[in-house]
Amino acid sequence: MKHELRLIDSTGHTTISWDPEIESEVATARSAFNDAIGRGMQAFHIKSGGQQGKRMTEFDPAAEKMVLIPQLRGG
Amino acid sequence: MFVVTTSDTVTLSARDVPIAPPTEAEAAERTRLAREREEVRKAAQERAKHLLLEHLTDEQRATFERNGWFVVEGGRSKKQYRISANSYAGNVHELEGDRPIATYCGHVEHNYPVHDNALAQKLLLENDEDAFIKLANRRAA
Repeated sequence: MKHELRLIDSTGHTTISWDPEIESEVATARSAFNDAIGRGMQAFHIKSGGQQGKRMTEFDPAAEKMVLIPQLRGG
Repeated sequence: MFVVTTSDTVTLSARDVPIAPPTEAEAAERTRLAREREEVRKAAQERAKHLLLEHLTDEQRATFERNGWFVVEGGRSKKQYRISANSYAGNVHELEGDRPIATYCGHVEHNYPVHDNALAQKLLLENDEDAFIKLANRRAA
C-alpha cells in the first residue's frame, strides 16, 4: 500500500506517494518533505478517521499519511 | 516659443497619453484568462474541501456539512474550539459548553484555499495547541 504525504499549496494540495519498499520512491518523498520543512512548513502524521495525530520534524517512511501545512500568522 | 532638440526629454503625464480601448480580440482574451483563473481557483477550493473532509471525524463532518463549522479539542488543554471553515480570520472560537468565550485569529495566507486554512488550524490546535495560541491574536467573544 502506498504511503502519502500531502503538501498544502495554492492548488489545494500536492500529493506525493511512496512504497516504503522502494528506495527511490522513499528518497523522492524524503526530499520533498525536507524541502517543505526547510521552507517553514509544519508536518503532521495523521491517523485515520480525523483522530489526533502527531507533529513530525523528520521524515518517517513508515508513516502512512502525513499532511504538511504552511506557517500560520496572527491576524 | 521653445526648441526641442534630440537630447531633450519631454515628460508627459498619464492624462496626456490617450489610451486606446482594447480591441475585440484583446477583450476576448482577457475574458478567457479571467474565466481560466476562476476555474483554477474553484478546482483548488474543491480539492481543499475534500482534503478537509478526509480529516474530520464523523461528528465533525456532520456539523461542517450542516453549519459550516466543526469543533476540535485542544491537544494539551482539552478545551473545545469551534472552527468556522468558511473564513480565514477570527474564525476560531474557544467554547465553554456551547458558548464562545474567546475568538482567535491565526491563519494561513489568503492565497491558500479557505478549507486548507481550517485544516491547518485543526492540525495545529490538536497537535501543538500552544503554538497556535502563541501566534494567534485573542479577544473576548
